[in-house]
Amino acid sequence: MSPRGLWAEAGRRLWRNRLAAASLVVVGLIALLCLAGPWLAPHSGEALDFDNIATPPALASGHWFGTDNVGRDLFARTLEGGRISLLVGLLATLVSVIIGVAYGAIAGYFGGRCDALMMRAVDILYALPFMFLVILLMVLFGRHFALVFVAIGAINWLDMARIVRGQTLTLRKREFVDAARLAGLPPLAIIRAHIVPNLLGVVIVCATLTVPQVILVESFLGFLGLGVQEPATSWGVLVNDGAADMEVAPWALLFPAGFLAVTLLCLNFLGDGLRDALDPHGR
Amino acid sequence: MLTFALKRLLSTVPTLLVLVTLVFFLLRAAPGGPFDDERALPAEVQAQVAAAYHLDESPARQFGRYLAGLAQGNLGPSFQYPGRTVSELIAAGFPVSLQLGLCAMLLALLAGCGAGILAALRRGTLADHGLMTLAMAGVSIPNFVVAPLLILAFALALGWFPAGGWDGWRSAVLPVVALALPQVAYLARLTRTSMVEVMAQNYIRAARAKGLPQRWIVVRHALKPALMPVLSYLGPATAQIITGSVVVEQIFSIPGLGRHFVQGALNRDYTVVMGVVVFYGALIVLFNLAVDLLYGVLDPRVRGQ
Repeated sequence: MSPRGLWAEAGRRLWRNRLAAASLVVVGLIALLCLAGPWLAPHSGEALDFDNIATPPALASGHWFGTDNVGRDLFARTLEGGRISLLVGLLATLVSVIIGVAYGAIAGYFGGRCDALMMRAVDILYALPFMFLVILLMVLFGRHFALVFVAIGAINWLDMARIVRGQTLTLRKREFVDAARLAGLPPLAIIRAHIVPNLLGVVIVCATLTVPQVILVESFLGFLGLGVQEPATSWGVLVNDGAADMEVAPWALLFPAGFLAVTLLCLNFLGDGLRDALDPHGR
Repeated sequence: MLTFALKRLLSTVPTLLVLVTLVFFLLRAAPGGPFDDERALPAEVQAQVAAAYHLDESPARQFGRYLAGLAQGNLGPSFQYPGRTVSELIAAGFPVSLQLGLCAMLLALLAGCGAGILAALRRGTLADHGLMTLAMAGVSIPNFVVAPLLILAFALALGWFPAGGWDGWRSAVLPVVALALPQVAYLARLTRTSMVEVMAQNYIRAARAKGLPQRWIVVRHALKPALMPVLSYLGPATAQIITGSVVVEQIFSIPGLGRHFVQGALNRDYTVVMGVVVFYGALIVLFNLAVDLLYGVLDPRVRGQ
């Protein structure tokens, strides 16, 4: 029997979980489709086609998802919105991973009063109505694209910090950490070289589940008109536009809503599958 | 119990304080004022307006003034609706939002816990898998996607319910369902997990060995411990429902507090936005406190910690 590493084993388990594997494939396909959008779509998402205003989906005209109420091609716009939504999802998650891991690892590693203080702050922040604060940030500081994900990421790191801190508390009592300490490594170097790499499993699971949350927040903001601004778009903005004239052009609502829903669903299934694969003892 | 309650009560103070301070200074730090119009006002008028709203004072004094007002339940005047105070706007909008939220919460608890218990008791069957896949879909699909789809299907295509407004129970059905759906799904998952866990306990096996009927075991022995996680989720659920009601009110044009909030946010109506955030924040914090205390009453182990 050939020895299998932790990651190979986890990958095998993930692949055997049909729902998670299918979700991974679907999310991958959607992401590829969104990335390839500019080359795939026969029309640009910004060009106004005055002969086709709010026309239903048709293969012949090249408007595969139909057009919106000013004649823009919805196929191109849905993919463009997907690029923004997925990008915000990834970048904001990255921000939350960086803050969450640093914060959680430091609190967990140093322990004691430092830990108590840092976690008390997290508790306080936890109780705040975070969606309202994001809205507040968007209202106050304009609606820049960069700010959307920094704001969301900066507020979404609390779960990550808690999970990382819990894991660090058990890690720091392990022999290899003692060995590193005895070898004279300074605390921050130990955290970087020995704690953080061992957190990878929980961080991946938590990050996978953060991506759909973040996409949701971004879409929520976009829906309220506080997210990315025209002509840029995201799935939330498209759902909002589609909902505004769904009586005449229901396809303008259904396509972006479908893409958003399927992506969120698959990411959640994938996150659940990853948790089962990476942490067979948990749950 | 009393020390536990007091400790809990005290722990809400820093949260509220951080909330108010954060909101206040974020608003002051914002570029652009509430009166920055396309049409520039004459300088003396601008100065008058600023003086009337105390915008010319130092931030620290404004903060003190705000805190003092807050202590008396006064959230200041609205910048965009002249002559109305924020407290009046909240008093006008909140009852509607409260009705909507309570109905949604009730529906979520009944349907969610019901589905979760059903799935747990039929673990591994088609019903279980079906319910849990539906629940995952419900958790993933946000209310602002569900709501337009509901309107499309039940208001525009079938014509069973009105597409918006707020008069009579018929107009409440769709918004309540749209608001409750994600919570139904989450509660179903939560209840199923904890019910499965409880049903595997030894004392349930003992009850079964005694020959008690399944119904009796579930109702008398399993239900209470299985529903404890649901109780502790009520705090976050309130926050979710309040947030969700912001969009649901927008979509169904319901004259609730959430709409004032969005309008205020889009108009840069500082005091309204701040007032609603503080009001809802305080509500969530207090509700969490109530849930904690209730948990302490029901589960004596928590009090000792």
